[in-house]
Amino acid sequence: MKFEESLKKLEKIVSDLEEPNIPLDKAIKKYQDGLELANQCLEQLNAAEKKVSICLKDSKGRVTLRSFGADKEKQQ
Amino acid sequence: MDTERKILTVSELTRDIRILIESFFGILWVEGEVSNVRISPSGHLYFILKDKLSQIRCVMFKPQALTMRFALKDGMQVIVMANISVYERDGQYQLYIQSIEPKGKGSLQLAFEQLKERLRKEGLFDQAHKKPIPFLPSAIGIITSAVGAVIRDILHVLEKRFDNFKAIIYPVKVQGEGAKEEIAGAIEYFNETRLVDVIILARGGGSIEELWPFNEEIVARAIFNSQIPIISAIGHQTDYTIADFVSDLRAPTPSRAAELVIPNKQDLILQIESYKRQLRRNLEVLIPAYYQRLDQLTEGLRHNIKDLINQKRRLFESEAIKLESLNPLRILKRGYSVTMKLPEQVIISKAKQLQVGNRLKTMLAEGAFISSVESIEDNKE
Repeated sequence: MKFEESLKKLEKIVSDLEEPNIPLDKAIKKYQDGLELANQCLEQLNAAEKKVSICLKDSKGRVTLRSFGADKEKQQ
Repeated sequence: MDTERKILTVSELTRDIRILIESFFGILWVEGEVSNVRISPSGHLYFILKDKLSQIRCVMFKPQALTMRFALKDGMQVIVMANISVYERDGQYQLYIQSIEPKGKGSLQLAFEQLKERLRKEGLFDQAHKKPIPFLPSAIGIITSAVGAVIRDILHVLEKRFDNFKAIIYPVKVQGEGAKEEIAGAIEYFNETRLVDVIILARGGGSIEELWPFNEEIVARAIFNSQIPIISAIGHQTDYTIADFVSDLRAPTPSRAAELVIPNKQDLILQIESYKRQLRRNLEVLIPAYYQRLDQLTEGLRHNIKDLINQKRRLFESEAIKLESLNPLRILKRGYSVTMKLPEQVIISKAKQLQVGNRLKTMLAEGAFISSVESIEDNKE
C-alpha cells in the first residue's frame, strides 16, 4: 500500500476509535490494525536508502546513470 | 540638339535613383504601424509601414524573418531597422528590414505574451490538466544545470527534510543555444524511463534573455505532455515563465520546490507517533466505559432477579393460603373425625371394610381414642 493511503487509513481508524458506542471487540481489532499501520508507515519512511544519481550522455546520445554523491566524495 | 541631351534608359535612371537613395540614407530606423502583413511561399515577409499621412513598402527576407521572436500582426506599432533601396523591376522604393522591435516593449516580452495567449487559448494552462504531486515520491527527477547554486540548494533542502531521499539529476543547459532542446529531451527521458514519479524543473534567476528557454514552445509542450507531474521553479519569485504556467505546480524558488516535493520526515514520524498514542488513549477511554456499562448491566440484572424472587414469593404465598384452606385439621375442628382400622391404620370410609371385633383408632380435632366394632350396619339401613 502507498504511504499516503496507509496514513489516511490510520487517521480513519483513530477517528473510528473515538466513537463511544463502538463494540469492544471491534475497538480492540481497530486498535491492533491501527498500531500495525502506524508501524508499517514508520518502516516505510526508513525503508529506502539515500541515493542521488546523475544522467550522463555519451557521444551517441545514450544516457547512463552514475552515482552523484560518490562522485562528489571522490572530488573532495 | 540630340547630342546635347543626355538620354537615359528607364533601367539606367532607376539604377541611378537606387544608388542615390542607398548612399543618401544608409541604415535607418523607422517607426510606424504595420499593415498588409503577408508571408510569401518562399518565406519572405512583406508588409506596409504607415502613419497618418504616408506609407512605405517593406520586405524582410527569410533569413532575417526567421530570427523574429514574435509574430508580426497588422496594427502593431513597430520600430524597424532597415536600409532603403529600389526594386528596379517595378521602380518601387522600399525598406529592406533587418530587424523589428515592437514599440513600447521588448520583442521578447511581446513574444512571451503572444505565446502565452496562444497556449492559454489552447488549454495548456488549464487547471484540469494539472496532475497531483505525489505525497511521498519514491524518486525525484531534477532537471537543471549541473553547476551552480540551484542543484546544491535543492539537494540540501531534500537532505534536510528527508535524509534517505532518492533523486536523479538530469543536467541541462539552462540558457543559450540548444537549451530548449536539452530541457525538453530531459523531460522526455524521465517519461520514457519512468525512473522517477515527480520532476523538478529549476533554474536560478536571470534576465528575460537568460530565462528564455523556459518560454519556448517546445519546452511548454514537453511539460504539458509529461505523464509525470512537474514542479517548476524558474528564476526569482517575481519571474513567471511559460514553463511555470504549464507545469503542474509552480514554486517561487528552487529551494521551495524541494520543500514542496517531499514531506518533512521528522514531522511525519511525530504525526504517526501521536496517532499511536491517540489509539491507545481512545482504547483506554473506551475500556472504563465498558466496565461502567458492565456494572450497570449487573445492577440491572440484580434488580431483575430480586423482582423475580419477589414475584415467586408472592405466588407461593397465595398458593400456601389455598393449601391451608384444604388442611384436614380444619375439617376435624368442625366436629368431623377420622377412623382408622388397626393395626394397618387404614382410613375407613365404608362399613364393608370392617368386621365385628376390629380395633379402631379415631382421630379428633384434639386427641384420639381406641375402640372396637360391636356390630356392623349396612348403609342400606
